[in-house]
Amino acid sequence: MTPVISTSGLSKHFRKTEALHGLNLEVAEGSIFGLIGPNGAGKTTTLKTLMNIYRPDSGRATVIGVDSRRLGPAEFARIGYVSENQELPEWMTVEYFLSYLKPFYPAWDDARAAAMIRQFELPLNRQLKHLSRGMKMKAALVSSLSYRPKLLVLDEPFSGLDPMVREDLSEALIENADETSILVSSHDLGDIESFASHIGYIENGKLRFAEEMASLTSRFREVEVTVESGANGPQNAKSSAWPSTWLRPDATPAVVRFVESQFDPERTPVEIRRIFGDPIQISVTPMPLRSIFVTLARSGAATAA
Amino acid sequence: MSQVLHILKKDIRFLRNEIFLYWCFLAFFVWTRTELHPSTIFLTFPILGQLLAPIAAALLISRAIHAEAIPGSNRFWITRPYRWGSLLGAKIAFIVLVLHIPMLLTSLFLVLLRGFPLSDALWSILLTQTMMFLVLSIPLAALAAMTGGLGAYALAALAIAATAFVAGNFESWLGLIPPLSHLIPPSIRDWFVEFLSVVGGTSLLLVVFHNRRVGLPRGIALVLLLFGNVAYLFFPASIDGFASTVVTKRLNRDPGTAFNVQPGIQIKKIDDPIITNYWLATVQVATSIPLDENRFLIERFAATLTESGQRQTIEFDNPTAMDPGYLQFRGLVSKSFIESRTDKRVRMHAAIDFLSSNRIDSQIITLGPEPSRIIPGLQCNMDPPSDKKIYQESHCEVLYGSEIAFVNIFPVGSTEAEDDIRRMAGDIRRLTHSFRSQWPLSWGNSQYYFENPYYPLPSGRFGMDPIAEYSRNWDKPAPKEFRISTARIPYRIHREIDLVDVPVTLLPKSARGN
Repeated sequence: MTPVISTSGLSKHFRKTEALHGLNLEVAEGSIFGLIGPNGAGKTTTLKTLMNIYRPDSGRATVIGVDSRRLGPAEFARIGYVSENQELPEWMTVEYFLSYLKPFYPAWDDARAAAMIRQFELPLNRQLKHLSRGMKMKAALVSSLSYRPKLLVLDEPFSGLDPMVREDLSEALIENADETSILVSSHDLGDIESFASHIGYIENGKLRFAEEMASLTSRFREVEVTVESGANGPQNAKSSAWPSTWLRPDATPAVVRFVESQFDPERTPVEIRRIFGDPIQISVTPMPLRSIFVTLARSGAATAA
Repeated sequence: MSQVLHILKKDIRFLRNEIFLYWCFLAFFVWTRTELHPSTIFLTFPILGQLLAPIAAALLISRAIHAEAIPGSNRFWITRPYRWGSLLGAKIAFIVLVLHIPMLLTSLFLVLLRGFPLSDALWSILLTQTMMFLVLSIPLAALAAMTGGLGAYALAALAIAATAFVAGNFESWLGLIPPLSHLIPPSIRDWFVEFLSVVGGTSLLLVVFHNRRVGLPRGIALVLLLFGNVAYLFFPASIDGFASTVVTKRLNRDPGTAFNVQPGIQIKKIDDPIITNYWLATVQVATSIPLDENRFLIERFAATLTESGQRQTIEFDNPTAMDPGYLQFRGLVSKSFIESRTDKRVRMHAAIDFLSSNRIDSQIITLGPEPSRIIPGLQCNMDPPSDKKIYQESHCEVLYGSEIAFVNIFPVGSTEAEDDIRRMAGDIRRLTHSFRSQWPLSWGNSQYYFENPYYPLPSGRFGMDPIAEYSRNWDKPAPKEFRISTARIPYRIHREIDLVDVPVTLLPKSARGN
């Protein structure tokens, strides 16, 4: 499938700070790509570089088939961009905001806009400056989905919102973005988990991994191994011999816990037995995305790739 | 085009309150310039009426540009399908429609109210607004485009104004070149700096809107600002002189050799118990050009005398036309300097600024209460006495932007001494000096009041403070018949002459310095 976003060796500096370092990223058409990473990892810089807000120092990015540096009105008519820090024209009412934007987009769909306004219960006559943060985000989303964009880029859309609003936004995305590829960055991993089809993990300006959500959640497992304490106990086992895919190992005389980042129901038990002999019990638990993210963030994700 | 109108309509809606306020300021200006206002404070301080609208206009430019501010990465519009040309077009259209056209209509209303014919007013007002748009609004728009908000814009504008003020006054502060009157027509270097401002402002505006990047344009703007100021400070006088020479060639004269300072200074003591620290110095200047009809006019003559390491600067004034080929200047020189140097020889550095002009017109006209059109753009009348004025005064108005360099006005058939009349004739009263030296504060028509010529103020002032006039004790009616001479298209020529071994001669008290 043709990628709707593709970057190659994308780098961006802000004075002495290297925000992006040779970023390689691909977002498949039709996918909902969740870009996650710790604070300062380069998520926002990535999105702004893709949107031609920042110009890359080196490397290349292609967005809906066009070099990001050449994105112009024709392309922006097919791209939606919503950011948590976006400065909306707050003097406008919701109604005027939408009617002002409408002529910019040949594909503007009044019916869809009306449906989303109803869905979000947006007060049309209220100025944007008098809306809550959540309502502003909803208004921005309506303004960015009403023209059925080919690509929707969302930068931390759920940040600071209450659970109900998050739920509304997630639902709206799922319902209205049927023809739209979405790239969303967020710390709200739970929300991303509910609708993202792909996940990318960025750290220190580098994409550590990117894969389908199903694959990711299936390969990460919390493993707890109970063995008899003694000469072959986990504390005595040479940790250097442990596979690099075992993250955040925690060993006591009788129990060792770790996160297996490449879980395989056949291979992983074999590995465990090779190291610990014949354990009393092996317990394997699926991990939520939030736990996977925390594990990666704390262990240094280079080893997870 | 539709996007231009769409954005323009949005901006007008967004800024409707500010636009209304600006238009109120325009109306206020009109009110202060008509007879309707109850106070003369606006005549005394015309800036009160004139400043509000230009300041509001400058702020409106900022507000309109910043509605889609270019610096900053969180603006909602930067990821929307705006065409850069449409966005820029909308902002330019806003400036023209909301700011300049109302200002133009205001000016037009005022000058028509003053009785100027439309044919006189239209061109000069159009030209004025065009120049204000190019020289002021476009650079301000560029400045707004490079700043993210009103605060930064205002600070930058103030900083630029401060540097321009410093550059404009640096010479006179240091006394490097004798300070020139603000009434002189603009020199080539003024044109150069204005040209730089227009070209720089337009280029920066285009680049910033096209590229949506401000880093490099900010650097270029800073370089342009520094370059403009340095160029202004160090603009070679020879270029000014050369350009003036070129444009005055049509007069079939060579201004560069037109004036020669005679090597000799005559000093005499002043018979005045009040002026005790100065003696009167007289210098003659030979001219190879007939000074008839004000074709060439001495703007200023200053000299620095040096002897034994001591220096004395003399400002000469009151040029008096002597018999053909000579002008005589008189100035005060410090007694302490000159007393010990009479009958000695000094070194003299003389600087002459003179004006050349053409399209001389001279006519005798009877002034009445209704304005008389002298030449296009100039009309005069005789204000009748009122409860505030116990005297009559002649009153001329010059259309803003008119090509009028000088106006001489003096009574016909005066019973005053011939010498006084001749002095007044030489004591040119320059009325307007082109719109460039007037804006931004004198948009609209300019009014100048002439004092009752029977009681000329010292050194032939004009454009006086009417309040000061009222306080004078006029007791004679002004004549109604005047000779009014006008000249147009002036050029300033600056010439410096170094003379060594100039004799300083003390004249006996009985000798006349003329």
